[in-house]
Parts: sequence; C-alpha cells; structure tokens
Amino acid sequence: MLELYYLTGLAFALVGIAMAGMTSNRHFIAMMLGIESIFAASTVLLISFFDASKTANPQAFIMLIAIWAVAAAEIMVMIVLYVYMKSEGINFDVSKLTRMKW
Amino acid sequence: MPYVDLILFCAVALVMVASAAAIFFKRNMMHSVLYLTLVFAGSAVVFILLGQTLIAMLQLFIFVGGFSSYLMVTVAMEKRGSAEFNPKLFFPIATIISIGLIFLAGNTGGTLAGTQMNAYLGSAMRYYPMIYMVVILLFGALIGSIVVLKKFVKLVF
Repeated sequence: MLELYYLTGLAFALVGIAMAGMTSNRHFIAMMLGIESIFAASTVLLISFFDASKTANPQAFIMLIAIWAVAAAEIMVMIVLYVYMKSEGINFDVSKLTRMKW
Repeated sequence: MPYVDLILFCAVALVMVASAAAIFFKRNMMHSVLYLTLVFAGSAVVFILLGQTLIAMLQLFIFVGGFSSYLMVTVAMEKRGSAEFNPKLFFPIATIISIGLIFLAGNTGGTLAGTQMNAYLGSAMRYYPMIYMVVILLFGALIGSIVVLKKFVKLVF
C-alpha cells in the first residue's frame, strides 16, 4: 500500500522539475514538453487522492478526461506552432520570438 | 512481501524524475520527446501500483501510443536544439520548488485525503457542465489556430 505522501511527493517533484526547466530553458519545444510533464504529474496527483479516499468515484474519471483533453489540445497547438515556426524559419528561442507579436 | 510495491514505486519514481529532468538537458528534441514518453509510461506504472489498471491502460494507449508517437514524428524534423539552456539556474530552482511543494504536501495531504476529498469534489463537480464548456472552448481554440495558421503554412491538412 503506497502512502499518499510518496505519491504527492512524486507529483510535486515532477512539477518542480518542469517549472525549473521552463525557467532555465529557452527552447520553445522543451518548454511545451515541460508543460506536458506537469499534466502527467496532475494525473498522478488526481488518481492518488482518489485512491486515498477509498471509495469508487466516477467523478474522478470525468476530471481525468478533462485533464487529458487539455493536454491533447496543448499537444496539437504545440505541433501546429512548431510546424509554423519551422516552415517560416522562426527561431525556436522564445526570447527571440518577436515575429509572433501582434 | 509488503515492501515490493514501495520498492517498485521508488524505482519508477526515480526513473520518472530523472526522465523529467533529462527533457531539458538533451539538445536533441527527439530524445526529449522519448524521455517525456518515459514519464507518461512511468505514470501508467504508478496507476497500476494503485490498482487503477483501466486508467493505466488508457494512459498507455492515449499518451504513450498516440500523442508521443505523433510528437516524435513531428519533432524528428529538427536535429539539434537552437536555444540556450542554463543548468546553473535549473538545479537551484528545481530543488527549491520541489522541496517547498513536498513540504506543503506533507502538511496538507493528510487533511485533504479520505472522505473530505469526495466532499470537496462532490461540491465542485456540480459545475461539471462548465468543465465541459472549457474543454469545448479549448478544442474550438485548437481548430481556430489551425485555420489561422493554414493561411501561413503551406501544408496539406
């Protein structure tokens, strides 16, 4: 039986690493992959809490699908932006993304 | 054999944390996507350890099988990263945020667990139509972004 503390620790460690990576890395794709690992951490946290509650709750599945939907939409937007930046020759360094300003 | 689950969880957690850090250290984006796939697969193993096999299978099918393959095919176009990475900044921030959040989890995890969690989410899920609306809005934004970008990108969608 896994303690809730270990699972929340894992989720928060993943979030911390992803946030640190996003602040220290300027590459657009790497930053978006960091957001994806935060989504993975959020699913671990959600299932951990519902496992700790000891009762079957179908609402957890609805929330999980919502998280997956947001993650999927983020992946698709990332791919579209990636293809756009690649085809237009835009630098992937986010500190130089002046061409995408309004 | 009470510690088998714990040992397996520690091994998976170590792999997940190392993979999450390796995402930012690899200059080849293809390798970064592979490490992200490892994070997804590790979370599926954690779900299996928690007894949630259906969710683990869905996680494997949707994320590892679907999205990660899609990302790999797309990101394979770029060979090397072109942006700078500052490892001196990475380790202090990762340590501070992780320790702070784990400390927070130690203080709040016990009170949030148990029956209170169901009560909180039971009241929150009265607003589930709004959650669906947010999801629909996100997909609308996704379709809108593809339509807008199609004017600029010479692609065959």
